[in-house]
Amino acid sequence: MSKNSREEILHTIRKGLEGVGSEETFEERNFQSEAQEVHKLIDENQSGLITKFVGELKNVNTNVIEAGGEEKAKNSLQYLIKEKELKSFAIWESQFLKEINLKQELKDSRLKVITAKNKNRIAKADIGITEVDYAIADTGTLVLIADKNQPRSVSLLPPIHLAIVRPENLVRNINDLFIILKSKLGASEDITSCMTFITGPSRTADIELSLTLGVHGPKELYVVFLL
Amino acid sequence: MGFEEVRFEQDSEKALRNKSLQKALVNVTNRFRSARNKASEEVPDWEDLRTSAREIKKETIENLDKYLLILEESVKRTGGKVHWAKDAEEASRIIVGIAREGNVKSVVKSKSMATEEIELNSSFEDAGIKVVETDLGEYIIQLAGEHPSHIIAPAIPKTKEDISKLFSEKLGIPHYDKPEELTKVARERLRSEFLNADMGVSGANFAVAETGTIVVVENEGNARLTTTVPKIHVALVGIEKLIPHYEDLSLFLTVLARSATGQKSSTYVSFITGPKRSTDIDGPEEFHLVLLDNGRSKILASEETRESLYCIRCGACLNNCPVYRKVGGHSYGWVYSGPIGAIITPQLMGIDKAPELPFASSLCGACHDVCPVKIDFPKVLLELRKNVVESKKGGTRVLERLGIRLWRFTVEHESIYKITNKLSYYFQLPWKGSNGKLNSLPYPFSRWTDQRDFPAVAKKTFRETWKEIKHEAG
Amino acid sequence: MQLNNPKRPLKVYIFITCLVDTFFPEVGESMVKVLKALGVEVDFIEEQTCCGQPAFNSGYQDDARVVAERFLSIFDKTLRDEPGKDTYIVCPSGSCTSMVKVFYEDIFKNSPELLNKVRHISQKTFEFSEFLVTVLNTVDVGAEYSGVITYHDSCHLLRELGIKDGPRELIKSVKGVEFKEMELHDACCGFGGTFSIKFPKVSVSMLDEKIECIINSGADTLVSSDMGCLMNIGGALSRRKIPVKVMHLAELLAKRG
Repeated sequence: MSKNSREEILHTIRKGLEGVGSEETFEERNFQSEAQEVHKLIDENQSGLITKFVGELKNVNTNVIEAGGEEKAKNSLQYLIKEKELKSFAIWESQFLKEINLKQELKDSRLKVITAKNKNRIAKADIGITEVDYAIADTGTLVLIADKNQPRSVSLLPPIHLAIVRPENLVRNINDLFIILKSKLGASEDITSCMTFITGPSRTADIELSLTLGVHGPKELYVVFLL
Repeated sequence: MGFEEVRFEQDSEKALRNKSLQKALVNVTNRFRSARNKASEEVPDWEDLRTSAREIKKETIENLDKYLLILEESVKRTGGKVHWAKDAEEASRIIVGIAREGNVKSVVKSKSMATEEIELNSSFEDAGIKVVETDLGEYIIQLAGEHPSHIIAPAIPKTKEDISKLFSEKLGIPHYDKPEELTKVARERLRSEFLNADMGVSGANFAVAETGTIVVVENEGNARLTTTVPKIHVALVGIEKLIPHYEDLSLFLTVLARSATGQKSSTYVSFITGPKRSTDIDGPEEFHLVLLDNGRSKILASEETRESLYCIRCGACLNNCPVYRKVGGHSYGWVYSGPIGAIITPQLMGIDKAPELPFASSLCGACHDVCPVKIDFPKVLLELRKNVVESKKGGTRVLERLGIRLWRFTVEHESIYKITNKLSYYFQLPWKGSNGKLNSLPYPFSRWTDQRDFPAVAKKTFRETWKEIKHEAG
Repeated sequence: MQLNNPKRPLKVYIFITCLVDTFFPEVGESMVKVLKALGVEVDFIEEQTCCGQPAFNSGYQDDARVVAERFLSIFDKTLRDEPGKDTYIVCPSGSCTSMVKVFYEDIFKNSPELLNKVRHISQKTFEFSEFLVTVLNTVDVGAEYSGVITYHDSCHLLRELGIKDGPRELIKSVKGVEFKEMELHDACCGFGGTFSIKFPKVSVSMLDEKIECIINSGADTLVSSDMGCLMNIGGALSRRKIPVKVMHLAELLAKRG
């Protein structure tokens, strides 16, 4: 049935477009070289980007912790854990987080680690900790790409999401991001099943237009920016 | 909740009498309008972006068959399934079929105009499958048994007292005062629905042909949950939502959030390509893309109205429309309202079901000014008006047609035109008031004079005066 | 911006519009007065009646087309017979002007011969304020009027023709005028031609909003460039006995102390 509809729909479309001039108007773009340009511009502007990014994060109700180094970052995380009396966490097994051995250190602090494999259990974790693949300065957006070490639910189900961002994650704007992503696709990197842009904590204005945070996604978003 | 016919005049008059709706409409549209203005002013090349967005949509729509095939190929390549639905009934059948095959007992849904269009929820209910709306505004509307009132803010007319009462009646909970408390209730209730659902149904703002990626834009997080937690994800997407290349998203996402709510970016944007990979830890095991036609391919065939398909569902036209501001979404009789509703409802449902809609506009063009893809609404409305007139050869338009014939005869002959003016000057005397204007007139002009004075025909028309003044010096 | 060549004399043909001709001849007279005072030769083609817009906007495009063709032939023929002068067609209405300059292209898009006439005529066609400001390069026409004025942007003038600042400059240059911008000055007043009769309650609710803005601005006079809008707003003001004067821009500019 669906197969016949497929033919029917395509037929109706073709018939409707009869006589419509359909020249390809898109220019060929060289994303590899565009990406190189973009990286150069990002490097040149880094300190400005950091300032912009932090400012934009605050505009969207994101709590920013600027940490001058790994130690300071871990200390601020410990402080947060004490202040909010966090008991359990879910975490990405991603490259940087592994490098700094964050998971083990949190376990050593007597926090329970919860796996993302069980959706009911991870929903009960107090905090989800991730890093980011990219961060868009212009809009204060975190870009998270799902893969075997970076499950989606860590930044989604627990009521608090904490993301560790480093200067090398930064891009200036969404345009930069897509140039970079496209250059990688061109080099035949398999596309992720899910990339997520996160700009602030979950929110709604559906009740009389009053802003309420934490509807379905995390109520609080923390960014630890590792300077 | 089923669609029968649009009754704009009737429903709009009801809306105008509803004081709390009037207040809510002013608040919402003012808020969104000024936010959009501010957000668009911040972008220096905003007008260029609109032009480019329109060009991309034009190219896509004019080659839609080609891009649909590319999309299909891409989705399959990444492990998803593609279904083609020629109409609402088939789309519902396909989606319910997927649910049955997957032994689905309960479904969670994120906001999708297309699923409202096909009345998916009632198909699920008929099949004995539980379905829960998870977008807070839609959840409220579902509890109330209504259609959404606005594309972006579906529950506009409801005050927090309305919602509090609704929640306590339908959910058996005490009355809560504050929005935070009501939101907390919704969060808790819906969280367990998400965790127990077997299937999640979403729409999509865009579908990228090149990569097979669907993009879902939201603020609450319910779309992320809908498309991540249940083991089956079904996305219902109108065929016009396509864009050709991955990088085109940069442009469209930039104009979408700013046009809709004035945000630089919505809180969450999900870029979903197929089901979870074998190495992924979470995510749905099955991904189904259901492509919906339901009259869109017919709109394609009409050159004058084809641009109706460029719409990215931002709602900016609603917020800027002086008519929508007064009458709200329900007056438009269906899921799409405001200027976009006025042009696509007659085209998707048939002009005989909504003949008033193309006329329910003063053609002011404020919508055209703010549309991120520059849809020329007045032009499309004029074409649809022509269609309405042509479709009703006899019937209720007889008087109007007669009037136009008389008008035409008069203006085609200068002498008749002059005589008509002269005669009118004398015949209008019974209706002339003390202020020199006409205070009442017979039907249909009484519809004017009920609330306004009408000007009187001048004793000496301009052309008569001209004879006297033409030789005067400056 | 076009500068008129001083070597070629200017001649304006008035496109009066059926509304002004029949109901508001004083607007036409004011226009003639102002143009003549600026040294422009003014003429009027008596065969003209209507540009076809009422039928066009109501969906009767075949009827509109016939009437539009008549309009075109009348003006095209007359203007072709004036080779020695810079001829213009000047109109006291944003909506009628845009009918000729914008919508005639659509109506005649499949008739190349008529399209030629359309292009010949439409490049010479100007709305009144546009003509003063961009062709005559004038914003001060020597008018005098004592009052607080607010201006309503009529929809076609603003959005189809892009005319926004010119009328304001002209108003502000009138001696004795205090100009006050009102809120929602560019929101539709609810006229929309037959819209005002097809959906009168909606139309009046839009009008209510407009009137509120006029009153809140503190102005005692409302000026606009379209009699459609002004008869709509003016009709409500007089019915409600609100003492705000309603005036077409041409009438204002013809006022002398």
